Amino acid sequence: MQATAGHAGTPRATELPILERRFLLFTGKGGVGKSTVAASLAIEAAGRGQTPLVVELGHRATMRSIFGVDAIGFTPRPVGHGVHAMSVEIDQAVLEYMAQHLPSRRMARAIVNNGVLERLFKAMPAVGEIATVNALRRLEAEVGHDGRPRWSPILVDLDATGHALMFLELRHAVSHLMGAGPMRRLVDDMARLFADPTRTRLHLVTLPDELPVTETVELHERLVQSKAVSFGRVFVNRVPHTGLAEATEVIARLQAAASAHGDAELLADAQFAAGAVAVERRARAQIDRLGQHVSMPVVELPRLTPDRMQVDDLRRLGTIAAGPVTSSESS
Amino acid sequence: MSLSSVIDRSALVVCVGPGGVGKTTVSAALGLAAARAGRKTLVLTIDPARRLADALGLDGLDDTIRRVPLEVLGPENHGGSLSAAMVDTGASYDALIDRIAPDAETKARVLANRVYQAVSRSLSRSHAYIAMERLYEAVEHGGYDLVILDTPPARNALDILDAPGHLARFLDGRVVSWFIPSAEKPSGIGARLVAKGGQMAMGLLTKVTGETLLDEIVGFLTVFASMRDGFITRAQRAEEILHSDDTAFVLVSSASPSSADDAAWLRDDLLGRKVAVDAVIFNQSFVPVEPEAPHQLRVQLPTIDTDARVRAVEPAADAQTLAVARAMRALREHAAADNQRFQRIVDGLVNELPAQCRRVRAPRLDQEVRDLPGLDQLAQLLLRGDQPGYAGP
Repeated sequence: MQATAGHAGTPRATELPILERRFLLFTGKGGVGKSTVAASLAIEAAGRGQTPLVVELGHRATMRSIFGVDAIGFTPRPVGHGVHAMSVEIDQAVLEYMAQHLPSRRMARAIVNNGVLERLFKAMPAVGEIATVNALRRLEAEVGHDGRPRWSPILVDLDATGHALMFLELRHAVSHLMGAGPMRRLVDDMARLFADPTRTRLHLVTLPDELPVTETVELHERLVQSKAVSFGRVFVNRVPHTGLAEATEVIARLQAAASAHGDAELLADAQFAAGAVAVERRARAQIDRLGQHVSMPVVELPRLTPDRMQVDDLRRLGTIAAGPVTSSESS
Repeated sequence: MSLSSVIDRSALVVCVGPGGVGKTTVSAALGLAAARAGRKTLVLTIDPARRLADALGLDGLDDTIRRVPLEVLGPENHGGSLSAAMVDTGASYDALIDRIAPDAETKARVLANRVYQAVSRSLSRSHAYIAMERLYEAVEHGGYDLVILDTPPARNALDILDAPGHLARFLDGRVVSWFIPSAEKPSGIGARLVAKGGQMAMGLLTKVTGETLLDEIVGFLTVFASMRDGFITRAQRAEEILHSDDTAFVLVSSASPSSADDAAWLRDDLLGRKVAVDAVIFNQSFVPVEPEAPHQLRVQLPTIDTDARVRAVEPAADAQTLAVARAMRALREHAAADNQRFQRIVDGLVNELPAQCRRVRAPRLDQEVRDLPGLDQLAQLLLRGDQPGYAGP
């Protein structure tokens, strides 16, 4: 598919505020910082008086370490800064699903306590995903004391690309497999929720490198075709900034002079700076390519220190992430 | 055992680690190092890593095992070779069914079953089973000196250790006979009760799942029942291979806090399973601040008078030149300070590991590895980054 013709002229989704959706889904290649972006937007939402809930799928230490708490389980818990977090463990989600769909608690217990049945149930294809969907719907339906939705927004940290696709395209994956019944209803219902732009947005997180950008472009293209989900923003994480992009000639001259005079330290400085500027230039080219091929607003996030993120860093990222779009043409 | 002896002596190296740390590339680099040291090596990857085909000098990477053209790197390979394949779940499952199906009819029924198709094609949990299966084939019948297995990223990485056991348990006689009493040809009161229990269970499960799915599952189990013994034997053998003394585990991480946290979780899980971690590789774990010596890890630069240095090499330097030189220096100093922070993260992960576990640190490269010479460079950096008895700063 060539670059979306006239995407600059198309009205962009972000004219509506990014945090005013019930479900914000996040995906991207492993290690690009999905969790960090989701967490920082949750902090931003809390700062605006909302009641954000961060949902992780399956066991991961990421949110625990971002918020510095000892455990995140199947029940939402406060993790500080006005944010709640939980982790959808498949086993627990499956039990919850069974308890909800069997006519009596006794039957649910009978299945749960029967090792053979439980094993069979868990081994069935898509059961884990469907139970996860079920848990998300339950969270969406929860209301607080004031009768308003208890969680808004619900920020779901989907797994890396492959798993996220499976999840988003669940209806397609199971369509031949499931006849009428509660699972089918749930899957259909969820597919409608994901595709509804007033309720759900999928945000992509990527890095300004060739491979992550290519994968993001391909993922976007595939989801455009499957119409499985409505899009939000593309976050380009860890965008490098040297402040020396305009100084390449001076750097080259200093490098030559240092080399001629045998100043190893100055020479290394110049070589290092030249390398960093080249990295920055390549990153810029990748961000431009992304903007050309993806009809989603692009938001650049700065590369922060490699140490533990502090809350201030997350706040800063969250404000940028929820703020105006850095269109790639502006640079 | 040093990293080079790990790849010299093991029959299987399992690389585990979080996503996004370059694990697939590291696995390939280790394979290349082994091949160049004279071993007949196979790298099996589970993740669709496209850059890897380029890095190996191949046109593409799929389920078929391909020979890597090592000649590109020069003649001295000491008789070693390198091959690579990416496990395609669907194709591998079909090949497996082909091998173990007792007859053509069973094979056709399995291949046509919708549950089988879903499990083997689109749904996630099946990756671990088939990876084990491929591993078993390669180690047992491949004729390689060394197989390097690149596992799926973090959360699922250890599924692979559980997969043989899960499969064997799932296919154990009890499950099958609950649902398909005829499969085991049971007789007597006990068996009839089991069959009755099965019917009740089916009724319950239909309530929970809906129609079709359960029918297909029963169909799936019925045909699988005939192949059960084949599955179980192979699963047991795969489990033995994983726990053999000739198998080494290498944990790959970067020095980013979240990768290190995921890696720490994997480390604890492995230790909890009494699986010895032979080496931890910290890929991209420092910024090389010595452009001439990228393997050198430096956390601090000497204090220098930048202005004086610049004037010494360029007496007519103007204010802008001096400002650029100071910014250059600051950039590099900042990178060295980053290395110091990386160091703390690495130490946090390493401190809990037994002393005999090797610690390997490789620098962050400016560009992704994109050809065989690049992969060879990474292999050299990994071998040079091996630190015996390294116990922090």
